[in-house]
Amino acid sequence: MTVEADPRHELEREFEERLKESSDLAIRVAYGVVRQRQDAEEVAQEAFTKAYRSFSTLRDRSAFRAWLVRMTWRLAIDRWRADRRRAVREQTSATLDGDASAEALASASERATRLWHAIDDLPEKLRQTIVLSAIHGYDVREVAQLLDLPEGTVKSRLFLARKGLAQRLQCLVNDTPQR
Amino acid sequence: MSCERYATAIADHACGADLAPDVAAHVRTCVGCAGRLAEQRRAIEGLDAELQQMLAIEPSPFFTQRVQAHVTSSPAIQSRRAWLWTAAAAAAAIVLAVLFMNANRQQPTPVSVQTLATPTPATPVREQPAPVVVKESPAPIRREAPQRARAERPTVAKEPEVLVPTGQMQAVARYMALMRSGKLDTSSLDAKAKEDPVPAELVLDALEVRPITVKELDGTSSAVEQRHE
Repeated sequence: MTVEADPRHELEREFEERLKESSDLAIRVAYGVVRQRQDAEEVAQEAFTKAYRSFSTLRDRSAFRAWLVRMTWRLAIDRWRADRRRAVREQTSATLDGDASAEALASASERATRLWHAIDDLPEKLRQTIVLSAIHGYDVREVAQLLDLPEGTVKSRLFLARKGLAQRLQCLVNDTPQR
Repeated sequence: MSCERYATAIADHACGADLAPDVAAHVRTCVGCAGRLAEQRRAIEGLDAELQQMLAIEPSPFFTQRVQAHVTSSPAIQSRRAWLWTAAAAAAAIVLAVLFMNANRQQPTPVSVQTLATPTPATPVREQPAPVVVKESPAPIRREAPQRARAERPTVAKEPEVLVPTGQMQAVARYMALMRSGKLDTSSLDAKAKEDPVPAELVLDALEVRPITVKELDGTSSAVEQRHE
């Protein structure tokens, strides 16, 4: 005779598992938009809160990650649009301050700043695709699953995004072979 | 000079586009274009690697615990279940109300002569649906459920229906219209009634009921037994 677990506890246990395995994904997606760790974590927390409310319909692992990516991206875009001026000011300030931490140094570098600006100039669909492909090194198939798009569409968007970045960062492309 | 026309195709291939067969054949045979393709590929790979490095941030040490505490403190799942139960109860109440209203709804009686005729003591009052329905449409649509519901509950006729033979509807209607307008002279009917008295053989005497008289018995059992013997 088996003892059935409490459904609510079972749901919470599953959600905790999803939270542990997807927290870095959500934060990185948010960071790709808002460029601030604190803001990215707040956006990710908001996305997880929404996911918790709908978790009974999102128990499938792949569906949960895809839903989380899309929700996080939307929330991050909303926050970025709302705080655009503040985010630009903080990013400029961090660049000039030259914080000693590794993340601050990476953000302060001219190459990173130019790369972020080039990414910002891309259309949102291309920006979403290139950012997702850079997270965990996802390939076309995985990005297609996360965005619920055909692989051909993702491949096309990835090509256009890379080409746009290469055109905007012509000197970067020329400098890269010497790295 | 001929290698310049492949520059765009090589750059696109480095960005992820497919390489056309003729360009691929040229790249295989041209050392310069092969080197350009490798350079472009390294550039794009470096771009991807740099972007990946920029996005490689890790959550704060207590991020998971903070999110967990935040979401579990809100009764989201519980309130969702409560909301579902409330919605289900409301839906059930609506369904019951609709069923109750359908069961008690008064079906409109078919249009009959009762709207034209004045009820008189001599007119028969029917509690069942009237067999003769005055309706111009050739075949009235029959609904089983309303008829069943009407047959189950006692019919209280506010205005008694009047049975009129089929074919005499127009005559009755004209008669009622004349009566209402006051143009109908009934004196001729009274005079005719006086002229045609009831025949004598049809006149019955008044029925006389006489009281029954019962003689008393003598009260002894022996007398009764002797009589039986």
